Amino acid sequence: MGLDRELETLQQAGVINDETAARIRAYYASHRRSPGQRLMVLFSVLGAILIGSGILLLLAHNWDTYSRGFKTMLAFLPLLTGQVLCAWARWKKHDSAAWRESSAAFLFWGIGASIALISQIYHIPGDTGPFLLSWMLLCLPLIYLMKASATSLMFLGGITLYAMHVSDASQNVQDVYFWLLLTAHLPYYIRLVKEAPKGLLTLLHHWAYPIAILLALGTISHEHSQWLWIAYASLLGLFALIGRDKRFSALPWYFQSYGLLSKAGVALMLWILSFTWFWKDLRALDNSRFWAFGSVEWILAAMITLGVCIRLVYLTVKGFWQKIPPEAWFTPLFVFIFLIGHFHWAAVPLINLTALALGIIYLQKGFKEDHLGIVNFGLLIITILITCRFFDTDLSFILRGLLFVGLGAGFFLTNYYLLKKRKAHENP
Amino acid sequence: MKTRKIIGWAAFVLMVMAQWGVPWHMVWKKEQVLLHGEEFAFKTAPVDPNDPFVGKYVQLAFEAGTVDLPGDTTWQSGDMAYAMLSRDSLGFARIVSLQHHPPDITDHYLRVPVLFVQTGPQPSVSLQIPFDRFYLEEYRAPGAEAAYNKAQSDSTSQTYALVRVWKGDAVLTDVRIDGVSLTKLGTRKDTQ
Repeated sequence: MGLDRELETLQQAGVINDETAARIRAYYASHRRSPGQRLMVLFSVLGAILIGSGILLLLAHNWDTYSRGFKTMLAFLPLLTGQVLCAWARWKKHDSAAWRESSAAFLFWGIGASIALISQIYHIPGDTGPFLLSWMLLCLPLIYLMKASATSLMFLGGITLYAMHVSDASQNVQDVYFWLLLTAHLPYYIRLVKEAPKGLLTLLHHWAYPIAILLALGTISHEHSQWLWIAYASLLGLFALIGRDKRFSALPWYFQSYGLLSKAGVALMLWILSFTWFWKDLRALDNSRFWAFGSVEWILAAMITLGVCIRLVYLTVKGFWQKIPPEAWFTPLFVFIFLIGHFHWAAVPLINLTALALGIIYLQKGFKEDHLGIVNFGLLIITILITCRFFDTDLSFILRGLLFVGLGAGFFLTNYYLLKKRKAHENP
Repeated sequence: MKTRKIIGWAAFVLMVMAQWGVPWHMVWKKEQVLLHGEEFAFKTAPVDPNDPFVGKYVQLAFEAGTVDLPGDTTWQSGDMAYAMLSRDSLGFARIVSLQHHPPDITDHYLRVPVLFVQTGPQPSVSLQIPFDRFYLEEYRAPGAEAAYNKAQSDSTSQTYALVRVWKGDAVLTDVRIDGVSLTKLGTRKDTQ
């Protein structure tokens, strides 16, 4: 409907003729997936998962009365059914997304169910971690062979859950598997972005990927967790740079997961690190424990930081420094403050000033672009920073009250001023 | 185009074989133990948690899980031990010795990781027994747990797990109280 209205406006203004308008309509009609088709895919996947779960529950009802042989046969049934459905979908229905997605989803759960049922029949104990790893390894080729994006999302959830179960990470070779599996999955994600940049499943992947990485990064922590802060700061800087890519910046705001997560993550880090406890613990570390050269945390932090800094230098040299988001600059700045922090308490006011500066940058950006959301984000950063300082300073209640009233008034006045400015612009 | 299709189908067949291979290998390994293994009765004590991925089970612990090793200081936490088994006067299994390598004289031994080593006047080694879960139909588990707790407080009651052992591996076949299987003790009525 929006497109039709716009085309009509352009035709009336003489910008395009009738023939061009018809060609544009035909192009979008051939590339658009109707809401009906999307719903069909979604409900097919849900239906497949529910049917699979229902079958398992029905079988479970009289489980103890079956012989071991019969139970083993039943345990392979979900696997066999899923594979037959997938083979059928590949052979006869390869153009149908609903068939491919639902059969792959069924097989995904069928593999897990088979392994779990065999473990149960033979009373095989075992941690959830190795079970998830085997399950996800067996499902990885399924994503590519069936072009199954819903299964791909479940896979990302599965490997993230696996990473979180593997707690003793740095000396344990198992935790490398999350990163290997994520890397093996990456070509699918890239292909999805190229082939369906505005698809719903692509959107969900844009959120699932960075969230999976953020959650899994924390599991690397072992004896030198201080370097994980650098790793996180650099990762958020990397997300900011990815978010600036035109593949994301040209899309609606809900597609800009990397940029949004980067903003939220940096703000959260600044609030947490604005307290003194972290810096006191950092100064208390002796030099050998602080530097920890060669530790997994140090290597990871160094690699990501180096990558981000090289990119920042490149963009600056090419003259694009003004387009670099402030969160990306947080990476080298935080490294600098972190290193100072090991030797001197000056890191504390520096971090607080960084948070304040970020808030002011967003306020300024919001005013300049006439964007209420950005202005309010800037105000939120400053407000929470000041609220955090309330917990570790000895201000009187009157002063705190006045400051809160002032902040609240600031919120109202800023929004009122912007809305008034907008109305004046629309009705000159 | 045709070559891509052939490659695609070949990859699909390989994937199917791998997806069958893993659970089938699990079944084959355990069936070998059931076929060739010797049965031992291990005295047990249960707790009842709920694993979200593999259903309701009874958590088991074993008296044989701690082994006294006077004078032996060669063990450390994380080591892999090969436990030689025998039976006591009541017919229950006990671990008589630990070795660092698989024994040559018998196939009926357990391969178990060392959890921790207790030093001092009475040194001992605690082992991670590999058959510490007994899966039950969900409705039976609470009733079975109740029967176990009652049996634990009764000193004349004997609770034990039947395990087939072969070449380091083991398969838990049943858990009994005074000769009656847990699968027959816990019923839907017990949970109401």
